Amino acid sequence: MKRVTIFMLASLAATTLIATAGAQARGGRKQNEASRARGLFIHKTSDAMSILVLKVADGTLIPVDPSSEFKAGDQIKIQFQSNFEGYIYVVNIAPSGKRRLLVPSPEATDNGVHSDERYDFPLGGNAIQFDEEKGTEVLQVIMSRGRIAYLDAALKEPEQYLSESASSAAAELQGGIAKKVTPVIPEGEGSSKVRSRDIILAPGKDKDTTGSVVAIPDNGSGGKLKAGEIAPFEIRLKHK
Amino acid sequence: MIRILPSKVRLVAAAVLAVSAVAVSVLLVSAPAFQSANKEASISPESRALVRQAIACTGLISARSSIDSSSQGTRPRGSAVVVRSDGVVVTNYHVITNPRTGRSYDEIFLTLSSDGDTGSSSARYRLRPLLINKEYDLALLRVDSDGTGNPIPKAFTFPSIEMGDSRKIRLLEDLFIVGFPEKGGSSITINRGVVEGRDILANWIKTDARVIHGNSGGAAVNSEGRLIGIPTKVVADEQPIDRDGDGFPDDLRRYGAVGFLRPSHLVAEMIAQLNNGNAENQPSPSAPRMAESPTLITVRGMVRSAASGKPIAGALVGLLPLGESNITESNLLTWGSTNAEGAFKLNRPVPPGRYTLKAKALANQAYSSDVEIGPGASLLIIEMLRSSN
Repeated sequence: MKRVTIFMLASLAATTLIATAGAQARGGRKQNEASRARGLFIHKTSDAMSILVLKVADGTLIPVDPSSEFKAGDQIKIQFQSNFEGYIYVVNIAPSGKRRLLVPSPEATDNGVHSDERYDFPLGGNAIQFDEEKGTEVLQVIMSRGRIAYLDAALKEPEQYLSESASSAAAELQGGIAKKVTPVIPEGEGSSKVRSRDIILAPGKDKDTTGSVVAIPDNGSGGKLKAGEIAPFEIRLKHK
Repeated sequence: MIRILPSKVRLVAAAVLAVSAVAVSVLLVSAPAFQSANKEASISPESRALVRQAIACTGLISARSSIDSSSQGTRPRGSAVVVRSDGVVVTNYHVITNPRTGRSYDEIFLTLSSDGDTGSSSARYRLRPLLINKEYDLALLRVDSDGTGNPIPKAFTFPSIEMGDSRKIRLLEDLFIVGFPEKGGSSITINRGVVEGRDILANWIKTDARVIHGNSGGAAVNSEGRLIGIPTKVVADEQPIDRDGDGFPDDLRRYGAVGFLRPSHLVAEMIAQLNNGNAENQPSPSAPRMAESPTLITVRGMVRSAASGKPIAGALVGLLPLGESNITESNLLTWGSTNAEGAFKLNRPVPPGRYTLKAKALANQAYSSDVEIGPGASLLIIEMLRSSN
């Protein structure tokens, strides 16, 4: 059974920003936003990342539009480049809702990122391959200034699935993993919460090696992640 | 679903962030081990007195079927507890059921005594099944007459046990098993343990107190002497032993056992059904009413942004007993997370009722609300507010 995959980049904070190349043409506001995101990334006035989706085709890697369609058996890789010093986490949300931590992994626990360095996901000769399960896969990418303990704790879970056991689900719902409290752990009601930054997006296009850019807008309060802040966004992979 | 596999590409870009495709072996997550409280710890004289009050309310069940040999008298089958002063008692369904026929015994008797000795000074009563819940292995019966068939005066008051709230018991609380275990002879036996665990959805209380044959249908009371459970089954940890190393087990070694109690709130619900219905007017003793077991409901729903209405992926949703705010693995009844469309399906079905719903998603404020889960209201819509910057 064939399956089609569509790549979409999205802001978790403002899912209206779920972007496709087509969405870019909807108006000047979007175009301004895209230019602004790329400017913030290049000039490092805000924390930002570029994301390049690469499809494995004829033994080579080709940049593709996030709205490209993929078939079952297609392989892709994703390249990240940050303009800040911090951490990124990648969580896969399956069509069933199951969540699995992909980055970091037991084999590569260092998920720290450095300014201007490019990172491949997956590492080396590996690639993401789509199987026969239909639906939309989400890669939830979380930019953070510090480590996120409840996600780090998922490294110890079987196959890094989040909230598979009652204890890990209760810990996450309650607001963190005991003994590993850091400022960026989601806290329970009444205590300090994770603060999330809005994200603006510049979507990538086919054969565009600059890829998509997500950036924290500098709305007067600074576009830099502070301690305890996270900036999540989504890459959506749709199978049909 | 996506998988990480070796790519078909000849050359890949320099890689720093490492994610390998090496299969990860599944780790076994061991259940938390609760340590039993020190059984040597003293019990207050007040508690002793309260627990002893359960003795007069707990009786021995003996029964026989008409197909049994006429020379064969009634035989002890288990224990029972008087739960209403007009002579309504509870026991396990399996205690009053003939395993050969699968039907209730034709003659069921309850022997009660003020001191727990079922000897000559005790009183014997004939019972009639009223309400049966096969799923929970519970049965309510009513005293029909004394042991010889004479009616009981209407003004007669049976010593009845005080009902406790099994929903509020806590781990490691003391409990006492009161009943007539086979090894204990014809006098009542009491032993002590703790609440080792709760399975709220499956309706079990687990205990390290000794539960053996004959305890079935008796009383498990708390330190205030209130009924919190009905001893129903025991699960032993038995491991095969290969003594001669030939690869075949020669023996079984028993390492321990866990006693399982049916929570008393199930008994309270059956009594309520009895009060609301006409089970006591059943024409035939062999046709007790069947208790209504709640149908379990699979909870589904959607999580979306309150501001934009857009679905939120990756939100974690869970149900707790109503009013609970502190989330632990023992009170998290069922849970699940949302997919790309914001849809979720919780992993364990629950009985209809009111619950506290919790949800959490990155970049959003924690959500909490009391909800009614019923056959027509199992689709939950959760609207989450953005975390403030």
